[in-house]
Amino acid sequence: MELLKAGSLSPILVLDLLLRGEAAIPGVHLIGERVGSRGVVVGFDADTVYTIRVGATPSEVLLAALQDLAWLKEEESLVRAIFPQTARPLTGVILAADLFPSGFSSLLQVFSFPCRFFRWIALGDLACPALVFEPYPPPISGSGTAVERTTEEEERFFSSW
Amino acid sequence: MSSENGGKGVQLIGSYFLSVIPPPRIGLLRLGPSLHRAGMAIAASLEREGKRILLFSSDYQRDGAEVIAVRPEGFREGPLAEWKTCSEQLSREERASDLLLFLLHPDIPSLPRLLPLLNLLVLLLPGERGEAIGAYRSAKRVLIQRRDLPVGLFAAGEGEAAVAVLDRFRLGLCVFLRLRPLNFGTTAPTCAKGIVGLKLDSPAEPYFHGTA
Repeated sequence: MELLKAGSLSPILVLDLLLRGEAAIPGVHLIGERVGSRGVVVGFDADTVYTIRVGATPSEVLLAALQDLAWLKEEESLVRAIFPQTARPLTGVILAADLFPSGFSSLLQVFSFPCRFFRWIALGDLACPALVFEPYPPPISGSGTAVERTTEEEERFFSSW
Repeated sequence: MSSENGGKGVQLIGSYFLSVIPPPRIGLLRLGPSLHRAGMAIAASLEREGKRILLFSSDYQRDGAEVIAVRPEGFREGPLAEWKTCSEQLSREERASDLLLFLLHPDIPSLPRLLPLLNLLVLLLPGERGEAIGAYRSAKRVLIQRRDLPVGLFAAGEGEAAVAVLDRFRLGLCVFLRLRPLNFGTTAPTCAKGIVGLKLDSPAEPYFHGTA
C-alpha cells in the first residue's frame, strides 16, 4: 500500500468512511449516524462525549469544531436520547487532520474542555482508500528514548549558571 | 460543641452525602532527595486554606489498624499502594475531600498509571542550583508523557538560590518543552494559594471505589 499525498482525500469522505465503520479512531466509539439538524458527528470514549471534526489542517476546522461543541452542550439531551451510553457530563472536541503544524500540540493545554487530536494517514489509492488514525502527538512509551534524553543545549542551560 | 465546630460538622456531613463529584487530583512530584517535607507543608497549607486534603504518599508507613492517619496539621494521609483496594472507607474519604494529593517520586512504578488520572502536576524543585540539572532530567522524562497536563513549579527554600532555580525551570520548560508552567513560588502558603486559585476540573470517575 502506498501513502496517498497529504490532503488528497476530502474531509467529507473521511467522515463517511468513519461513519460506515470502514475506519476507526483508536479508543473512540462513533455513533454511526450524524446527529441533529446540523449533522454533527458524535463519538465517545471512556469518560467524554466528543464532537468530531475532520479536515486537512486543524486550524481550518477548529472554529467549526468549537461551534459543534456549543451545539453538543446545548443538545446533550438529544444525544442522550439517541444513544444512552453517551450520557456523560463532559463534552469535548476531537480534531482529526492529516497535517499538524509544528508546536500545535502545545495548544492542548489552553483548551478548557477535553480535546483530542488525531492525525489521519491515507493509504492505498483514491478509489479504495484505507485510513489509519494515530494520536497526536504520538505517544511515547518506555524510558530512555531519544526524546526523553536531555540534549547538550539543555544540559548547558541547567548546569552552567 | 461550639457553633463553629457544629458548622464545620454540618459541612462535612453535607459534603459526604451530597458530593458525588470526585475531587481534583494533584500530583506533587519530588525532583530532589529532601522534598518530602515540602509536600507535607503544601498539604498543611491547603488545609489551612479551608480545603479538606487527602494525601497519598509512596513512602507512607501505616502504623496501626487505620488506613488513613489524621496529621496534626489537619490533613489526612494514606498509602499510595492502597489504590487497588475497594475500600468503603477510602471511597468515603475521597468523597468528603476537596483535593486528592499524590506525593510522588519520578521513579515509582505506579507513575505511568497515575499520570493520566491527574488534573495538575506540581514539580517540587530543589532549592540548590547544583541539583537543577538532575531535577530537569527527571522532569522531562515525566512531562513528555503528558504534555497536556497543567504544570506548576514550586522551589523549596526561600533564598535566592530557590528563586533562581524556579526562574530557570520556568524558562527551560518554556523554551525546550514548549510548556507554560504556573509559578507557585517558594513557600508552601504561596503554593497553596496558587492551587486554590485554579479552577480545576473534576475527574469523571472516582479514584477509589467502595464495596457497597
